[in-house]
Amino acid sequence: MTVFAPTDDSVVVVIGSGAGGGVLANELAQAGVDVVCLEAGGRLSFGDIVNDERVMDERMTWRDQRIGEGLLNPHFPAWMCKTVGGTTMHWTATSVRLAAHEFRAKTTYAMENSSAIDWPLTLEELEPFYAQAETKMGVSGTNGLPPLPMNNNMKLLAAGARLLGYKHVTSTGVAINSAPYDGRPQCQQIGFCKSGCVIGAKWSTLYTEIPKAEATGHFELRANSMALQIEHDDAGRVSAVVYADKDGAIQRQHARAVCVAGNAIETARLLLNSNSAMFPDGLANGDGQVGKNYLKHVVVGALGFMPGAVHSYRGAQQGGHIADEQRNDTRRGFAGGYQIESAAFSPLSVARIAFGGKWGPELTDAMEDYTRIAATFITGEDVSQSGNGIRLHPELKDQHGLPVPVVHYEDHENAGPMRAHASNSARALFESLGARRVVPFKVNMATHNLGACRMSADPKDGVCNRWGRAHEIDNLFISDGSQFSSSGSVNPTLTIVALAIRQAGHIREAMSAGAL
Amino acid sequence: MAKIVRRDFMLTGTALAGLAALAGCSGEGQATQNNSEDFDALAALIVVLFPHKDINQSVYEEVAELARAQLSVREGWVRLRQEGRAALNAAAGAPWESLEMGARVKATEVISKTRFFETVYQAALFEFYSHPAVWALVGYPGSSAEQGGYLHRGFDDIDWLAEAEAAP
Ligand SMILES: Cc1cc2nc3c(=O)[nH]c(=O)nc-3n(C[C@H](O)[C@H](O)[C@H](O)COP(=O)(O)OP(=O)(O)OC[C@H]3O[C@@H](n4cnc5c(N)ncnc54)[C@H](O)[C@@H]3O)c2cc1C
Ligand code: SF4
Repeated sequence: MTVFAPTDDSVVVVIGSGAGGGVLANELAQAGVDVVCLEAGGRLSFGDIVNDERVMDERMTWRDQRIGEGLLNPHFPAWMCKTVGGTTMHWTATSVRLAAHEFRAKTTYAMENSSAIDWPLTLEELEPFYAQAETKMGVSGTNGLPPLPMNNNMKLLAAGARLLGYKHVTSTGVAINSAPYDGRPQCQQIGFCKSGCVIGAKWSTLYTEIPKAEATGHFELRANSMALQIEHDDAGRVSAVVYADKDGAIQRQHARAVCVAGNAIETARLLLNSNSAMFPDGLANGDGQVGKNYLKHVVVGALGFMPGAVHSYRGAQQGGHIADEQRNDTRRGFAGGYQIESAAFSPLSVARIAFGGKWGPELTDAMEDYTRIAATFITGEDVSQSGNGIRLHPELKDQHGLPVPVVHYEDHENAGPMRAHASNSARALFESLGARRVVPFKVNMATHNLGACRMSADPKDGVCNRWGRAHEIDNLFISDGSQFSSSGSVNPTLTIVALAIRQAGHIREAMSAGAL
Repeated sequence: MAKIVRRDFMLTGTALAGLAALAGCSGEGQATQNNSEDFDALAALIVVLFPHKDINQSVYEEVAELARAQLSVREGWVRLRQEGRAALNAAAGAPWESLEMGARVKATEVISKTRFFETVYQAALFEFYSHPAVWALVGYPGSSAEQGGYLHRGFDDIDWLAEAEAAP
């Protein structure tokens, strides 16, 4: 096991071991760059992963105090993991590329009351990295992997889609092994993807990137290590990361460069908490952009109460999607598009999410139809607003004495019409197959945390450049979904991974050129 | 009756374990001494909330016990419980438990916007729809890994779609 000295300032420190951090760290280590990865959570082994939502939420979910405002749940604004592997443990693995127009949010949508910008990057430029990400993750329908076999719920969505005339219905684009791949087995359709995959068929950095990085001898994972502050030198370059180790003792790791991948909310929070005399408002925040323009997707869920059994809990929890509505077509009454995805909910989730607040026969009659429930989860383009974001609470502190994050989110006026359209699509789909009842519902908790430290061509519009490199501090990198200039409609992780691969190349080149 | 509707414990998000327990955990654990009158009322209230015909009374009692364990460690629970009981009785115009089922439901409706109700509802919901007997009733088998998942056990066995697609 490789161990680096705390005083070794030749290492790159990566904060977070999830989709962004785990991939970046491994890519650097593979290229011979020494990396220390600080991860706030502990390290699970396969024996710790069980088919039990409650137990796994206790083992994996990020539960440190946060405050939600606006439309967000006040106590639990966002759902993510605190564990080695990050939220790639909870995720359901839908892995789809952004469309070309989604990289040009400002130009394409020309929205009022929006702080939208175009990405300083095009689809064409990202394509080779998308391909590498798909190879890395074993995305179904790529690299010779067949589409994931459709489970009942996805077959139902596909049948409804055919009746509605949708054409782009697929179970490709899922980072779950449709055949054995990369030393991991084929999906057994166990149906507990959100609780961590017991057999490792679903891509997660816990059992892919992390052990691969460790095998290089250029990587040290420090689990149970919460980064508290990033320090800088007199020249204003970052120089070390202060963190609390597993015993709560304060440690300091020196660094040549620091890459932050704490899943948007924690990334912005860490930069804000790293204020100093030179950077009174936090690192890389000279233009007040850290924490601004937070995005989480417009989300709609819907249940269809079908005439026959569906057993949607069987099999991959998000094993396919319908892409026809991803286009930008303002005749629908809103800008941007959305994805219609297969979904599955346990009885507790049905009661809590779809029927939240209901009781009596209204609830119990629906619950007794559980096996006939079909489900969809729809994610749509979220229009940037500078008022949506992350800031520090003025008084409340967490167990480390750090100000807790306050996450504020309001709908843009584009969201209402999009949500209505998406709900109608779900309704039409389920009703085309004879649904007796369709229940659309809102989800007031973010699973996709984006923006908040976005990349921008003009330094005044964002925090980092097209490589995720902070405009203000050239050895500080943003390495997760916070970089997103806009949300696009699709689930973000494939793009996060592609950006991390690309950023690793940039860091290596900058190092070889003596510029880092 | 409390007029303020606080949806503190409304997790309209997902079914996360223990999240209900996230909100306000401290103190008052000692004030939870068993008080059988309260205990019975809680189980009876859970019957009103989730009136499945084929669920045994003992399940409601177990759920009440689990919910109580969750609630009792919550800050301010003892007072909230007292207020809630008083509100229920006031709405009932008599001790709430002395009423018939229909009247219990009506009185519960009256207090359904109170913080007491929300708090009890969230705790009870969380425990009730995690209970194996309730899963069995609704047809959810729970853990599947030890049986090899559903790859060979019907993950794609839906057989009525062609008919539904052909229907006018
Ligand atoms: C239920 C669910 C389903 C999902 N399904 C999909 C899907 O189908 N497709 C998709 O594309 N996306 C999905 N997502 C989102 C996906 O999980 C995230 O986009 C992705 O994991 C984000 O990567 P990340 O690197 O930014 O953060 P994470 O993967 O969350 O990793 C961040 C890590 O950083 C650690 N950390 C944070 N702060 C600190 C600190 N200060 N010090 C040390 N460590 C720290 C955290 O503990 C965590 O392990 C889903 C999410 C959820 C919750
Ligand atoms: S359905 Fe497949 S990916 Fe999901 S948990 Fe089961 S085996 Fe893993």
